[in-house]
Amino acid sequence: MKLRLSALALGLFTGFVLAWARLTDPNTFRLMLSLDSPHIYLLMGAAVGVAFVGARLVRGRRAVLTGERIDWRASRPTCAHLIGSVLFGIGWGISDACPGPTAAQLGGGRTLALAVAAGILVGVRLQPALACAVAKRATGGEKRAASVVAAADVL
Amino acid sequence: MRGTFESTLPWWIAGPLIGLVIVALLALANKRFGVVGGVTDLVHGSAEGRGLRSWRTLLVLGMVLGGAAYALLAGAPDAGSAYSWLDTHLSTSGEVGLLFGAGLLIGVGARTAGGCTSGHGLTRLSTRVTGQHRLDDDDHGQRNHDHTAARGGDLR
Repeated sequence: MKLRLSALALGLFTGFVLAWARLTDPNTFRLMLSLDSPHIYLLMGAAVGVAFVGARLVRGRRAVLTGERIDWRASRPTCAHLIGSVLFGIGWGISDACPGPTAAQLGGGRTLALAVAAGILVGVRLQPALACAVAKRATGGEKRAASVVAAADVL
Repeated sequence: MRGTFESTLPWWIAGPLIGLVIVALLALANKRFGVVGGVTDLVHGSAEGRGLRSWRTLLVLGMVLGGAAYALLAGAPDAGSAYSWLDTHLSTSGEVGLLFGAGLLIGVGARTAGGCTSGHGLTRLSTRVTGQHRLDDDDHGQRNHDHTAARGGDLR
């Protein structure tokens, strides 16, 4: 319960910041993808910088809510990451949208974000069956298919 | 007050704030920030729960509410039917179709890769790129049954 409330509050904060930084304006992404504005690159760089340092400061400590030991393990990129990122990139390039800002756009009243959001929901819903079918057809084998179906965990 | 919110928050404030959200989730519950996980829990469910019982779905719901909160304070700059440069090139129905298709690619792609810009671009870059590697990671137990079936005996 505490985790869910925290997540709701952190999400609210994130959505607010995304909107305030104008990441809810597709034109902001347009300028980023066409390399005309460094705004999002700098923003992401700053976010990763802070998170990189902060994550290492809390690593090994006990999580406040769960008492769990804060830790993670690195993982190598797989075929699924490559295929997934190409598909994602095409969608991103067409729509200038990305899932987080699209969520904030829904709250901000951008009506066409509904079309993007609906696409994302259906895409995520159909992905397992879709990937399974494609992988089976392409490889004819279960073993290789497994690595194409999806990355092991979803963030 | 309203003028403050109408001007764009600079990257050097917005970026670190988002970075702190990632650290906060780790510090609170050893969880990874990401949006597609929330969408996954909404439509499939995972070990984290399903729908509103999953913290990941609530994170995304919070982002929707955050966008609404900003709209209230800043005079709703995003509200309306304007979208992007596509507006001038397509009819409304054409644009809805194209954006739905783009959303499909984003959804399928992000689910295949296991994350989107927030999960991979931010969280994973901050944590899991460096350090000891492993081939088969399932620390969050987020595979759903479809995957379990598809992966056959590959699961631990």
